Amino acid sequence: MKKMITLFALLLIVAASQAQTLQSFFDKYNNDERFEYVSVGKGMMNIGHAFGGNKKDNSEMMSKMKSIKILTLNAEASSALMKSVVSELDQVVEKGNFETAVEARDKGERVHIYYRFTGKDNADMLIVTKEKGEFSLIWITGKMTKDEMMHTFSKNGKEMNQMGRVEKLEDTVS
Amino acid sequence: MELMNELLEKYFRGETTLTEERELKRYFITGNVAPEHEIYRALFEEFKQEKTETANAPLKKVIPEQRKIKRIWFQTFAYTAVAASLFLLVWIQFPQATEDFAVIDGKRIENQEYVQRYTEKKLNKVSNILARSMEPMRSFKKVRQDMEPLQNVRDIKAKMNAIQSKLNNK
Repeated sequence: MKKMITLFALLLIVAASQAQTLQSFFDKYNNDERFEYVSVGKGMMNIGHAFGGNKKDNSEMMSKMKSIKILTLNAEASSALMKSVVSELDQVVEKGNFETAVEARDKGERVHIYYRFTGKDNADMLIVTKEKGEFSLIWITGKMTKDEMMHTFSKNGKEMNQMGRVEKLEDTVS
Repeated sequence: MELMNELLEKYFRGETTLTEERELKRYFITGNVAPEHEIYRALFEEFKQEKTETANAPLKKVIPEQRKIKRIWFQTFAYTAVAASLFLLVWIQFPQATEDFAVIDGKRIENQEYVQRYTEKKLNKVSNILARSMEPMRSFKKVRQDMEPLQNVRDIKAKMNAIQSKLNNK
């Protein structure tokens, strides 16, 4: 009996350490004074116009979203905190089986969009924006297919879908 | 005497009631036992002796252990039940915290308008960066569209060359 309990406890520990690493990342920093954190539940999803595109598409997209969580850090890119957060996030993305959907760069601003599927059409979309002195992480969860996810940002999304990866050449030197 | 004979027969057949057994025991204990029943006296006196005996050491050991195990299980079950009830009570009593909130400088803000604006601002920023990044793509598309008439000129030129070579062959 003792062995069974120990084995069960071990299994729980292993499962807990592997799963929900993105959740634990958000949990770690959401009450940290150096970060700004915003959580939006399904009830307040009337922010569709922020994505661009027509009203019909937006309301359809909003109905599929379950939550949006935003974590923002205002700190210099060279600061130890920023470096550690960025490297921690890279690990979360790598271990969390995320796939890169888009990488865009414009005048020192970078956007990385990652996605993964966690069940039947259950998807996580992770948007990382990096700019001078600010690092933001937007985590959108919902019941979306890959196509729907790619069209999230409307017109831009359609082009993203075709391109997959976009970089503005004139800024590659910076 | 006959009654005792009957009772004894019933006793050995295992058909006696508790009252009849008590009657038999009383008969053998009182000492006024018929000679033909003397052979059974030892058996019934044994019962009397057993009644006065106390449990020996190993028995004492086993019984408390069994009780202890039962007690531990009962206690575990009781504590789990109490904990589950308390958890349910707390769950029902306290409404779930709203999902829409912001934490800025360590302070929780539940102003929905603020939360909405903040989210909009962030999403707009992403949308704008993407739109700007896509600009060269749009220019590229436009150039391709503008180049389409030139493609027609190239086709016409190719056709003219074909006609020219045919004429030359003739």
